[in-house]
Amino acid sequence: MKLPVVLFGLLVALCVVTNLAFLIEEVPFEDVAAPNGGLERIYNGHGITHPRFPSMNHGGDGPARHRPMLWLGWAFGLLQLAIIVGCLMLGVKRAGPVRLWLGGSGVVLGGLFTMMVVTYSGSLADQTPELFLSLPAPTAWFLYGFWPAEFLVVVLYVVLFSRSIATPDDLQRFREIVAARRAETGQPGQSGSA
Amino acid sequence: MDDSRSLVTLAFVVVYLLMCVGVGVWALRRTKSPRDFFMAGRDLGVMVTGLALFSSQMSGFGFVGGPGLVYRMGLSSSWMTVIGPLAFCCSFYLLATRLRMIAELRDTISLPDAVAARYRSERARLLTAVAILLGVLGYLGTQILAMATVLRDVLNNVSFIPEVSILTCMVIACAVLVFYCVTGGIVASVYTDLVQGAIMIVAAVFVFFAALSAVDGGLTGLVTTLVEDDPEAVSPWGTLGMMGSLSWFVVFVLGSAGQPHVITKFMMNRRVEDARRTLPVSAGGYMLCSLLWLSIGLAMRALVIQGGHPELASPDEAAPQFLQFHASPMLAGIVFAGLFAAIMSTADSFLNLGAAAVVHDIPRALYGRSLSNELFWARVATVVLAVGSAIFVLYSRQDLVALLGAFGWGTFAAALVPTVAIGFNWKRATATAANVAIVTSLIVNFGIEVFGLAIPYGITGGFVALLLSTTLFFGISLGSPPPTIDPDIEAVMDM
Repeated sequence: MKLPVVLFGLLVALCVVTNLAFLIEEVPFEDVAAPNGGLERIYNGHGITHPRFPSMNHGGDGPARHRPMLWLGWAFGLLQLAIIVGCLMLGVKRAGPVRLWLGGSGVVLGGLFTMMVVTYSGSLADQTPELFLSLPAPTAWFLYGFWPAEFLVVVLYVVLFSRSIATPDDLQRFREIVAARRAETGQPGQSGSA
Repeated sequence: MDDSRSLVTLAFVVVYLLMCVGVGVWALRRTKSPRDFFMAGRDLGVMVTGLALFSSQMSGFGFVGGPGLVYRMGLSSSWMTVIGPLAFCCSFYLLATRLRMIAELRDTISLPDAVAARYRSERARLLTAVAILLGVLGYLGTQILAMATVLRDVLNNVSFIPEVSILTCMVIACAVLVFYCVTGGIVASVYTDLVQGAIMIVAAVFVFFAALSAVDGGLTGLVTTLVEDDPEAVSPWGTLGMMGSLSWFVVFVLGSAGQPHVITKFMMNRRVEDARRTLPVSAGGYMLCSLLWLSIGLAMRALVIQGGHPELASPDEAAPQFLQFHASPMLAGIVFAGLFAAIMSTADSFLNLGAAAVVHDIPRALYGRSLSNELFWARVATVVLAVGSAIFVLYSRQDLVALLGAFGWGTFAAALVPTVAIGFNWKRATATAANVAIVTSLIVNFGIEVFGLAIPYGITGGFVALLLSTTLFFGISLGSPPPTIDPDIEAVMDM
C-alpha cells in the first residue's frame, strides 16, 4: 500500500480517537450552581486551580482522571507518533535504508512512550513514587529515554544523507535541471548552486 | 533589585542592542537586491542557518512563556519543547533540500512563490500569503509588546533612571529592530540570529545549573517537593493531563514544518547538501535552550511551594523573578540579553515575511507582478508593519492581541503543513486540496478562539485545526485526478 494512503488511514484513525474524547465524558467533574439558577458542570480532569497557590494549577486526583482513559491517551499518542514517522518517511523518496531505519526509530520511540504509559499506570496506585535518577519513573522514561532517543532520527539524517536523501547523482541531476531551466528562460547564473 | 545588579543587566542589554545596530550597518552593504533582502542572496553557511533556525523557533515565548507554563502546569508543556529534535527532523526531512532546490530552480524569494510554482496556482499563492500575513500581524504585535515590557523592567530597576513608560520602551525597541531590518533585511536578521542563538545557548546552560542549585537538595529536593505537593505536576503529562498535553505533540512536531519564519530559511542555504550538517546544530541548540524552559519553571514552582519565594503575581513572572532573586548579576545580564535576543530573532523574521507578503506575494497573486522597485517598497513595508503592529498592540483590546498571538502557531501549522510540508513531497496533492486546507485552518483557528469553544480534556484548538486540514488535504487529493506539475518541479520532487 502506498505511504500517502497509509498516512490518510492513520489520520482518519486519529480523527476517530479524537472524536471518542468528545463522546466519553471527562472525569472527575462537579455540578455547581450557575448564575442563572441552574447547574453548571465543571470538568476537573485537565487541571484545577492549586488550593494554596492560585497562580498554579494542580493535577487533582491522578487515578480518577486518568485510569478510565489511559488506553485512549496511549492510542492518541501512538497514532500521532506513527503519523510523524510516516511524514518523515514521505520526505525520503527512496525505499531503502533510511525508511527502514526510520521505521525502527519509530518503534523505539513508540516503545519508550509505551513504557511511560505503563510506568505511569503503575505509579497511579503509589502515593509516593520511587525516583529514578531523581525523577519519577514515567518522567525518567520521558526525559532520559524519549528525549535523547529523538536524536536517532537526527543521526540517521546525517549518516545516510548522501546515500538516501540527496545523493551525488541527485545533485548532479539537479545541476543539469537548473542549467536547462536557465537556458530555456534566459535567467543569469547564480551563486549558491548545489 | 540592587543597583549594581541592575546596571550589569542594563549594560548587557545596551551592548546587545548596539551590536544589532552594528550588524544592520554591516548588512546594508550586502543588501543590493530583493533576493538579498528576502533570501540573503542564498549564501548562508551551516552555522548561521543552523543557529538562525533554532533561535527563530524558540522566540520570547520560549524564554518567558515556557517557564511560565511549567510553573503553572508542571511538565505539560514539555510536549512543546522536549519534542524539539523530532520537530526539526520533520522540517529537515520534508523540506530542507526540496525547498532549497525549488528556490534555486525558480529563483523564488518567498514561500508563497514556491507554493505557486509547486501547484501552478495563483490562488494558492494568495491564500498562503494571506495566512502568513495574518499570523505575522498577531505574532509581531506580541513580540514587540514583549520587547517593550522587558526593556521597561530593565530600565525601571535602575534607580537613577526616571520612570520610563511602555510607549517609550516600545519606541526604543522598535527603532533598533526596524533599523537593522530595514537596512540589512534578512541578512541582518540571520546574522543577528547567529549571535542571538549563541547567547541563548550560553544563557540556557548557565541558568539550568543555577536553577538546580537554587532549590534545597538540588534536583532530588526539587522533584521531591513537587511530588509531595502534586505528583501529577511532575508526571510526563503535568497538571493538564494526558490528552491535553499530548495534543501539543503533533502540533509542535509536525507543525514546526509549517512555520514560515523557520522553513523559509531553508531557501537561503549556500548549498543543498549543507542541510546535512545544519540539522544537528539546530536540534542540539534547541535542546540546550529547552533546559532553561524546564528548569526555571520547575525551580520557581518548588521555591514557592517550599516558601523560599513569595507566590508569583502571574506565571509569566517566573523567569524575570528567578533572574532577579536567584541568579548572579552576570548571569541575569546574559539571560536578559538572551531574552531580548530570543524575542528579536523571531520578530525580525516575521517583519521580513510580512514585507514579502505585502510587496511581493499579494500583488503578484492579484496583478501578476510584484511592485516595481521592490527593494525600496520592502523597506517601506518593514517600517509600516513594525509601526502598525506597535500601534495595534498599544491601542487594541488586549484579548485581541492575545487571540492573534495564540492564533499564529496553530494557523501556520494547520495551513502550511499540508500545503507545503506534505504537498512538496507528494505529487498527488492538488491545488484545490491546498486551498481548502488553508481556508479550513483559518476558519477553525479563528472560530475556536473567537467563540471560545471548549474542547474536552484540554485538547488544544491548534490540534483540531491541524488534524482537520491535513485529513481534508489527503482526502481531497486522493479523490481527485492527479494534478499536472511542471517537469522541472516534478524532477525535484522525485529526488
